[in-house]
Order: sequence, then structure tokens, then C-alpha cells
Amino acid sequence: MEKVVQHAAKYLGAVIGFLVILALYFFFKMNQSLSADQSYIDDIVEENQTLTSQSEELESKLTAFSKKVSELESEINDKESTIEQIQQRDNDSDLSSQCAALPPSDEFVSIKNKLETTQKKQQSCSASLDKRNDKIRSLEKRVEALRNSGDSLQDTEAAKLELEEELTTLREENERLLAQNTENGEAAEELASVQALNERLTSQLDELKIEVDRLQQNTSNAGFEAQLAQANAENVRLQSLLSEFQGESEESSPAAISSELQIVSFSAIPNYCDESYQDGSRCVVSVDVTATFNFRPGGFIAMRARGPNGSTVDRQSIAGRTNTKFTIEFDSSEPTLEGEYTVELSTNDVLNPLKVSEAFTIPSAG
Amino acid sequence: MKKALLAVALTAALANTAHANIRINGFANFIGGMASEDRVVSPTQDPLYGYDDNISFREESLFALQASGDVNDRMSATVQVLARGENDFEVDFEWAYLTYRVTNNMAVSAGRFRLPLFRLSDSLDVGYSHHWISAPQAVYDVPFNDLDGFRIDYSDFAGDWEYKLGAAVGTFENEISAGTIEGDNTYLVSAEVSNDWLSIRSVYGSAKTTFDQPDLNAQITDQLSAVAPGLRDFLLMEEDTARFVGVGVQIDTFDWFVGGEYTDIDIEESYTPKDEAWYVTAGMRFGKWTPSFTYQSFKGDEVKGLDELAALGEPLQTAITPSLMAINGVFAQNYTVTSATVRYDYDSNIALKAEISRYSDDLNDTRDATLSRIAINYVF
Repeated sequence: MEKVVQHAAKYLGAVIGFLVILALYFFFKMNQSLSADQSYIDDIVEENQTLTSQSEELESKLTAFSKKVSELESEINDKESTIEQIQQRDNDSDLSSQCAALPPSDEFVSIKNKLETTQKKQQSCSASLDKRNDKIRSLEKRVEALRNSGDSLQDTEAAKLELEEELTTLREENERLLAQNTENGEAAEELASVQALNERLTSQLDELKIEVDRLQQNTSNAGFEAQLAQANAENVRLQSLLSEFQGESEESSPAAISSELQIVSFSAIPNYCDESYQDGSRCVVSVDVTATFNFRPGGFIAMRARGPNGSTVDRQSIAGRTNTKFTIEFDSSEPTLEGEYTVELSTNDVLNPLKVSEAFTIPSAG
Repeated sequence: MKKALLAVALTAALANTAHANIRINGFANFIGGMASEDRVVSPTQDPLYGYDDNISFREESLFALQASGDVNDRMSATVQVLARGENDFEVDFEWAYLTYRVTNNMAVSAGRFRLPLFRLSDSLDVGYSHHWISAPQAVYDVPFNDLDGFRIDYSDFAGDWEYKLGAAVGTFENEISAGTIEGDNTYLVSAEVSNDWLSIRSVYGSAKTTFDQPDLNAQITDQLSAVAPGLRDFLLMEEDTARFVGVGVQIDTFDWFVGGEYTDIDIEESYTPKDEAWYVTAGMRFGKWTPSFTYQSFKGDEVKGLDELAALGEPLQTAITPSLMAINGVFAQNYTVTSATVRYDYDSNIALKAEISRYSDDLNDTRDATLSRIAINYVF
């Protein structure tokens, strides 16, 4: 028992001695760091401020870019409305030659209204004319009847003069109505021709509108994709700047020295094939992945990428770095399954084990 | 104390690199054990693994600090200082090397690092990473664990199989049995293939080995220089080629595991016998509990030099045979060890273990013993 106590005391003394050495080491390091590394801390603060201003600048750039995107969207809407205006104003050069002889469309409407009014008038005039013709015929019959009856000459001739005057008036009125009816017919014919021309012009404008819509959409899609890729690249650069800034901030804190190995940021940018398939699906050539850790993983990182159906897409062994970059290769000979892909990262470092899973999405082509 | 200050200074220098990301880890094994009284301890017979019939906490306990820093995006530096109880907890540099990541699949290291002889070489001292208290001594107790030189590691996947290739060149030096063993022109190649549950590893190494133990060398020289200089040169270990061959298999489904390793070490022209060692271990995991069973065997009782002695003819053969047998007897061993271990994961970084082992010596029954040990392993 005494030996045990002696051994325990000796062991305890050795442990205390080791801890004293450790404390001296940290005290020495702390003193050195406090004086010699103050400038380093100042450098860090200054760099922090620079990065912060850069981040703000980049944020404003992103905001401006977002605003530009919004402006592009509104421009597209404006262009759509311009197409409608093209229909109304006929400002496009391809159509101007065809529209040269056309009256303005508002005149079309007024002519149409005029035609309807005239047609109504014509119908009422026709009815009135029929009535008057019937009256004329009945008066002629009465004249014949008087001629044939031998009544007093004065009464007969007075009645005859009266009837003739009435007949003349009716004939003049009839001729006037017939003349009006003819004019209305000519206007109707002219209006019909204008209507036919208008329908032809409207169909041409509809085709032109469809064509402009299609061209505008393609332009905006291509533009959007290019701008989206640019925004993604800018985002990755911002993320790396941010992670570097966060990493440097963590370096100066004691917690980072002994914290667990973790992923700070993860980005995956797909590289699409040039071709697309009939059903609208697309293929992916590769995906560029950047995984940033809070500190360098030890040894090699085992990476496994799984598709939405759980099948393994790629497996790699990657030498661990704080900013680990690798490329996941896809089979570009067939359409790529859209959906969420999983990237599993693990190491067998006993002191700093790693087992994490991150995800990225391959969107549908539509 | 001097070495401790040197370690502190080097670690501080590493920490003060302007753009280094310093990472500090540590691990400790607090191990106490006691052997049964049936093993006879004498000046010529050491206690089993250093334990006698009194409980002791020094023989296998150790404390270590490992600092790792990024020099730049591709290069990192690693330093490990370790204090072993058997050395009175004197702090010593275990590892100190730079690693350069050539590509995503290849890394090159230079400095002092663990010689990748075995499947568990890199984590040999981290007791928390194993289910047993200490790795099977029959296989892992070799006098050359660290190498000063260069190391290349390549790792990649072929389908679902991960393959790792390694090569190392350099020199080693170690103090053992009151002498110094040195290895020049040391090279080692290894290959490992593994999937989710199976791992197979093989290794081959060679070195020009010199073992300098003044008393033994003096005895050999005095007895044989005049009468049999050829036999003297044969027996002395002076730049003799040593060969190391190892194979390891591990099946681990997490719920249960089975594994084993076999090694063959031979220094042809020397008095050291050819050592053949192997172990088999198996265990199961029940939540925080991991019981396991390990059987290890060591066979190294070959008598060297008999052919060279026979060539001398009589009367030298008769005269020298006792000395030759005595020299061979110093290093001859033939034993088995059967162990039962229970591990309890107290926390995510603390493990408690208890183990009982039965050592059976096939050459000398007085060496038989039962060893009981407890351990607390933690990492931070």
C-alpha cells in the first residue's frame, strides 16, 4: 500500500510538473502574443474593415445587379406592351409599307358606326319607300277610277291636280331616298374592303407579336442564364471572401483552436452540356464543389456523391485542405436526373473526425 | 527539461507564423495494471509489459499534444510531443513533419513521422481510437516505429473500393535493451484496399540495420574474433539487411468486427531469430459497451548461426555451441496472449476500459502471468 501511495505521489508530481511546464508555455506564448502580435491583430482589424467595405461594395453590386434584373424584367414587360402599341401605331418598318394606304384604326371604328347607322337609315328608308310606292299605286288607281267615273269636271280636275301634285311630291321623295340608298351602298362596300384589309393586317400583327415575344424570350433567357452564371460566380467569390474573413476572425479566437471540424460553407456549380433533349431535359458534364472547413482536415477526405434516386454518382479521395475544391464528374451522354444530390464527406482522423453531408440541386430545364 | 523547452520553443515558433491556422489536439492514456505473482521477475526476466504484482500507473500511461498548422493552402506542419510514464513523463518529440498536398489524391511528407508498418500505426498511441487498452504487443512491439525521411501517400477510388498506396524512405534510430538500433536506407511500400466494411492491407519494408549493444557486442567479439571471425561477422548486427512483411484484414460492420494482422521480421545475418507474429481480434458493439476478445501469438525461437557453426567443424563447433545458444536464447521468444476487454464510451471523447490477459510462454513457464489493467482514454 505504501508503495502504491509512493507511486501515486510520484506520478502526481510528474503530472503536476507537466502541467506547470504547459502553463509556463502558454504564459510565455501569451506574453509574446500580447506584445508581438498586437500589430497582427491590428492588421486583422484593418483587413476586416477592408473586407467589410468590399463586402458592402459587393453587396451593393449584387443589389444593383438584382435591380438590373428587375429592370430587365420590366423592360420585357414594356416590350410586350410595345408590341401591342405596334398594333395600334403601326410603327414597325416591315409593316409600314402595308399600312401606308390604311386609314387609322380609330377611323375604322367611326366608319363602322357610320355604316350601322346608315344601314338602319336605309332599312327605314326602304320601308318608307315601299309605303310611298304603295300609296302612289293607290293614287294612280284613284286617278284612273276618276277618269273612268265621269264625275264633274271641276271636282275631277281639282282632284286630279291634287293627286298629281301629291304624286310628284312622292316621286321626288322616292328619288331622293333612292339616291341616299345608293350612296350608303357605296360606303358599305368601301367599309367592307377596309374591314377585310383590317383583318389581314390584324393577323399579320398577331404573327409579328408572337415572333417578337419568342425572340424577346430567347434573348432574355440567354441573358438571364449568362447573368445568373455571373451572379453565381460572384456569389462564390463573395462566399470565399466571407469564409476567409470568418476563418481569420476565428483564428484569433481561442475557441477555433479546439473546436470540432465543421463545414463553414459549401457551394456546388453545375456545368451543363451544350445540347438539350427533345423532352426539355438537359445533361450535366460536371459539378464544381468548394467546401470550406473551419480548419484543415487531417489526411484524406472520402467523398461520395449520391443522386436523387440514391445511386452513387462519383467517389473520390481528396487530400484535406481548409478550402477543399473538387469536381464531381457526371455521365454527359444521357440526360441528368433533376433533383437534390447529396455529397457525403468523411475522414478517419481519430483526433478530428469528420462525417458531414451537404446537398445541391440540379433544376429542371423548364 | 531541456527537451521540454525545445518543444515549447518549436511549438511557439510554429504558432507565431504570420498566416498559419494553428490547430491543437491532445490525447492521454491513463493506464494502471498489475500482474499476477506467478511470473518470476529477475535481473534477466522483466516484468510482463513492465507490470509486477504491485499496481502501477506509469508503464503505459502517456500524455500528448499535437499541433498542426497551415503554412499555406497546400502545405501544413504537424508537431507531436509526448510524455510517457515509462520515461518519467519526459517530454519528447514524437513527430515533426511538413505535408505538401501535391494533388487532390497525393500528399508528400518530410520530417519525422510514424513508420506506416501496421494498419494502426498512425493512431497507435491514441488509446481512444481502439477497443483494446494497448495494441497486441506480439505484433506492434517493434523497436522501430518512427522514421526520419520522406513519405508519399496516394489515395483514390475505383468504383466503391478505395485504394491507398504509400511509400516511405529514410532512417530510424531507437534505444532498446540497453543498446541502440539504427536503420539506414530504410524503405517501405504499402497498399490498402477497402470498402464500407472490409479493409485489406499489405506492407513490405527493408533496412540496413545495426544494433549496437556494447556488452553483447563485446561478448561476441571477445569469444569469436580469434577463432571464428566469420561467425562473429554473421552474428553481429552491422548493416545487415532486415526485411519486414505484413498483412492485415479488418471486417467492421459497426455492430460487430473481426480483424487480424500477420507480420514477419527477419534479419538474416544476425543472432536475432526470425519473428513471426499475428493476432486475431473480434468484438461487438452494444450501444456504449464494446466487449472484445483478442488472441495473439509470437514465435521467434529460431537458432541462428548453426549452419555457419557447423561449417567450422570440430572442436570449434562443440566449444562455441553453448555461447551461440546463449546468445540466441537472449532474444528467443515463443508465447501466446489471450485477452478479454470491455470498453465503455463514457462521453464522446472519453472511454473507460478494463482488460484481463493471460500470458503463456512456451519456452519458459516461469514467465507465465495474468495481467489486469484498467484505462481511461480521452482526446481533446
